Amino acid sequence: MKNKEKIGVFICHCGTNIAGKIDIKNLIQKNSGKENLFFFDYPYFCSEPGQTFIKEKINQLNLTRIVIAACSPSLHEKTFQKVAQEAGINPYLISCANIREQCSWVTLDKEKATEKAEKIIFSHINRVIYQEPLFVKEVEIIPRVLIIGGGIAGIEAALQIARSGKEVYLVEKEPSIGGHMAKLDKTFPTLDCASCILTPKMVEVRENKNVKLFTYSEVEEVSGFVGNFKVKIRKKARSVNLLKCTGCGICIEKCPVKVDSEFDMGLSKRKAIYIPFPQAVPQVPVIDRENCLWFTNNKCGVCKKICPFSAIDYNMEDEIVVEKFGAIIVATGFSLFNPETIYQYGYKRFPNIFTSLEIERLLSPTGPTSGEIILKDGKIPQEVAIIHCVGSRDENYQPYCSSICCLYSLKFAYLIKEKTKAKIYNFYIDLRLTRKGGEDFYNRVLEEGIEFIRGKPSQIKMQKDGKLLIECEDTLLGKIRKISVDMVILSTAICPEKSTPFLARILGLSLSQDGFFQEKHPKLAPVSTMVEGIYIAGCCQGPKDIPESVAQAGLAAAEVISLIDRKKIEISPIVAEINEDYCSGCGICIELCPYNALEYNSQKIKAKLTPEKCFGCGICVSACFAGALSLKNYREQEILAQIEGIL
Amino acid sequence: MEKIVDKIKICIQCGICSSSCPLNFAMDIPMRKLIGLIKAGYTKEVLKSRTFWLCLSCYFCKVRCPKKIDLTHIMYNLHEICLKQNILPENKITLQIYKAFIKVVNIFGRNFEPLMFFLSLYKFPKKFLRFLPLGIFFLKRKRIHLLPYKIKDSENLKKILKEAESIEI
Amino acid sequence: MKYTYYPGCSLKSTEIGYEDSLKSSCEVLGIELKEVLDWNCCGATIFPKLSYKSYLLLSTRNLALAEIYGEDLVTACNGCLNALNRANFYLQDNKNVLEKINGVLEKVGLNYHGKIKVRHFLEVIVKDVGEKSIKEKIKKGIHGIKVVSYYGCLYSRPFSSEDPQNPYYLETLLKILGAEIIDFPSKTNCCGGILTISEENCLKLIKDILEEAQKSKADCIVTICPLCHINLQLYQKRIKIFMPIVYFTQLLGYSLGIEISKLGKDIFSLKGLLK
Repeated sequence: MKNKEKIGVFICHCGTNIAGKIDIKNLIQKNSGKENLFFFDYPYFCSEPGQTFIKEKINQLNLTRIVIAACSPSLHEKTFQKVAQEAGINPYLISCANIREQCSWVTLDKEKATEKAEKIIFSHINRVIYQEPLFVKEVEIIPRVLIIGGGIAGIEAALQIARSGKEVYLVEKEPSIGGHMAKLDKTFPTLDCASCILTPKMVEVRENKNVKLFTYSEVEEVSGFVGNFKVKIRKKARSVNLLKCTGCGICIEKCPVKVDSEFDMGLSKRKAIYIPFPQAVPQVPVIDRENCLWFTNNKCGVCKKICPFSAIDYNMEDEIVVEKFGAIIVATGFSLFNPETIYQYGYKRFPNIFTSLEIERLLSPTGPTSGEIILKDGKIPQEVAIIHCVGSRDENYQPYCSSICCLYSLKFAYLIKEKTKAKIYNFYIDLRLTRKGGEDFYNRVLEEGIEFIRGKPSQIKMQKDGKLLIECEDTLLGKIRKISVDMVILSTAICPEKSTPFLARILGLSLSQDGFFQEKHPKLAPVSTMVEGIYIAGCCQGPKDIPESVAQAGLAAAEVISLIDRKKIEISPIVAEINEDYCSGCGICIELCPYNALEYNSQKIKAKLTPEKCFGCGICVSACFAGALSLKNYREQEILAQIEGIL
Repeated sequence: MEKIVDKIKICIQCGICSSSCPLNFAMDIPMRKLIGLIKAGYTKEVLKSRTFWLCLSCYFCKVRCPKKIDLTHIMYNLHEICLKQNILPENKITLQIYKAFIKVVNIFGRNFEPLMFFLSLYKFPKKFLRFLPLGIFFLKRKRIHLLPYKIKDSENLKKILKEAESIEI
Repeated sequence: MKYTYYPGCSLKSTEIGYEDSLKSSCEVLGIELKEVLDWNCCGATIFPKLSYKSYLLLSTRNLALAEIYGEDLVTACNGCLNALNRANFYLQDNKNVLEKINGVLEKVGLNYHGKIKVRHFLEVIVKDVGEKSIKEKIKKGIHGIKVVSYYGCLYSRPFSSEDPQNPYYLETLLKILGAEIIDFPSKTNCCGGILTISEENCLKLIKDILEEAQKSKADCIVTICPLCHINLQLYQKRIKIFMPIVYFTQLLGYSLGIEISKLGKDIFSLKGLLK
């Protein structure tokens, strides 16, 4: 072997995991005496005495490279890298040979296992000669956070981070923060008034000096990497000056245009200049330029004339704000499934069929009926049906379970019974009531005499007397039941929010099969993503209720606070490298990179790598025809040497 | 039967199939329960039931099933299995019509109404007499003819139909 | 526009009037129909119940014969549409079965490569001919006639490109012809099909459809399948609800200026409807 390196080979017994199958003594005996190669073995190298042993040998023999033949590097590579570093060797001059998961655990015959282990060990001995010392890069973290989405998750995260003294930009695309929670009447299972618990938080957001609120704004472009994201935010023109307006509301009173209110789910009207709901933050109206007579026809103009504070500005234009952030939290929430696509449920074809958010508005004291549950003709319903799983758990629409519908369906049953004394039927397939207090709530609801029918209704028909006929098989009784009711509530599915694909593209995030943002690990890293520095919280990660959204927001906030407090983070040096001489600018690698670490440099007509974003997966390296890309520590020299060692 | 069980493993017993079926009021075992019984292995009970003989192939169940199970196909399979095991349905007329149709198509390659009518209902005088005026009406208006039409390749058709059972799907 | 035409057993016998109106309309619209050579019965919904393999052979023979001409295969009967499509998709998804079926078909000199598309004549008229061309050729409108469109179950399920419970091509066509469309929620309900002869329970299905059409105050029910047509007509005396049942091609042909005698005068006289 032509090498000047002194290589220490440490073969771990791993108890009997390795030693029980591989004849380590024989292996060492066979290969001792080779120049510059030193073999050692020990029961558990990962233990403290084991690590001390390695350090001692390094110092005694002035070893320059290390091969650890033991378990999978995914378990202990970092451990041994630390050991090497403490003993004075660059941590990237070690190589972990896996002779457990890839050898002793999967080979039955002892002789063959020993043979294979020898080959693996020598392949690593060969490669470690070519390895280069590598150094971690330190990146500074800008102490400013961007939160996209001003619903309960976004608000909670903003408050936690702001309270720790860091600057937060909260960007919300609607004219007010509050999200879907502001539309709710009462929340299960405690039946707290949603606005009563939400509005104090919304006010705190407004008052906290560390939170810069950007409502009626959207994120347009994102570039950069963890600690250094550059973001372009578009502040859409509100047409009302935020500093001059006092929220008196005269302009709204006098506006002649009426449009379907989005906040009331189309059940009532708002004006062209409007504040979405009474507790909105900021308490400043916005002009809907698509429906305002001034902007469409150059007529009217009453609001401007009548404003006592001259706050209306028709000439206001969208403003672009560019800022740098250390971390981003995405909390864009969900959108509700549209049951119009399910023809047989008659939504929008027959009257008195409502979705969950529509009923929330009807139940709400600030809603279109001031909290009265009444039919289109003004009468109080005598019989109400609530259908679970509309659009959920259905391969024809959304295959997943929307998690919260069973609980809110029970809530509706309870509240509507309270308000109207109607006979209520809940049509379900399975009841998923896992929230704390869920079973208690179920008992409460059963005691109110609400009938639960296990069966998914096939269709809703309109009867001649105006009532709605529901056909369903009561699967527990095995009978087909036809029940006529006055009102039907469809517990509709939670779908990914409409801007999700766009945000995924500009942030470099992946989406799971259901269309929600993909978390790094469903159990242990539910708010992190594959992009370091970008976190997700709330329903944008998957359907969940308010306590879970708040918990996720808190976790995301904690991760961000910890990130910023560290002031710097280390970036692994195992990244790709471009040899520009070979790069032809074909762009294949750019398309393939799952972390968006490669960009097109149009001036040089070559690919450009942002090493801080690179995760060292190697996809680009294998795809490059020209061989311009290589992966540090896994370059051709190292890999070919490894192969030679086996042959 | 095993092939059917394989397809219905994913059934969550929601009941939308029974509820959507136009003839559910005439079935002795609801569709959903039938699927459940097959899953649980109660084959005899399943094959003796009237349910799948009432299947109209309207496909409401398949299109509405949240797990996209092809229920209509399963209903077809159950018919076949029943006949192979010689379990005959309650409604003898239905089976007789089916058998008559198959005979006629085998001979002529296409449907031939007069023979079809005769072979289906000759054992059931009430029904025969009820439909006879209609048959005469069609004859008079020349919408059906007493002379059958045989397709040119009818011998070859008979040949390949004989080989049907030898194919393994 | 050229298409391969599969009539099905009904259109050549009791519903020959339907075929007359279909062929006359095609002439005016410039559609060339080439009948599948020596086609056999598709097997409908009866053969699959008693021997799925025989059914596959029957339908594949037709598909193989249609493939010889190469154009899209067009039919005007829902039952045939379903039978041929079911076999077609099954064979396209299970190439090993197609091989085995071809193994038998080859003995009589036929082979199916899976290249044919099967469509309903209604879809061809609305999609391929299109509103503009139809409007150009309309000579007489059918304004003032209140119609209710009845698709039957097999048109839009399970293989249609339209919403399986809410197809709209027939309404589109009737609107182009000038009729007044009345909403009909039972438009894809089953008429009972072949089972109606032996199963008295099917009469309830026909009763529901006729009742709803009557309540909606329509002048007639427009059908697109010979089986639906017969079922809705035959039992009116027993159910005691009387409603004119018309084929869509009859209304289409009339609008295109074709004489009533060529529009299946025997199946239903349009004269009574068009007063």
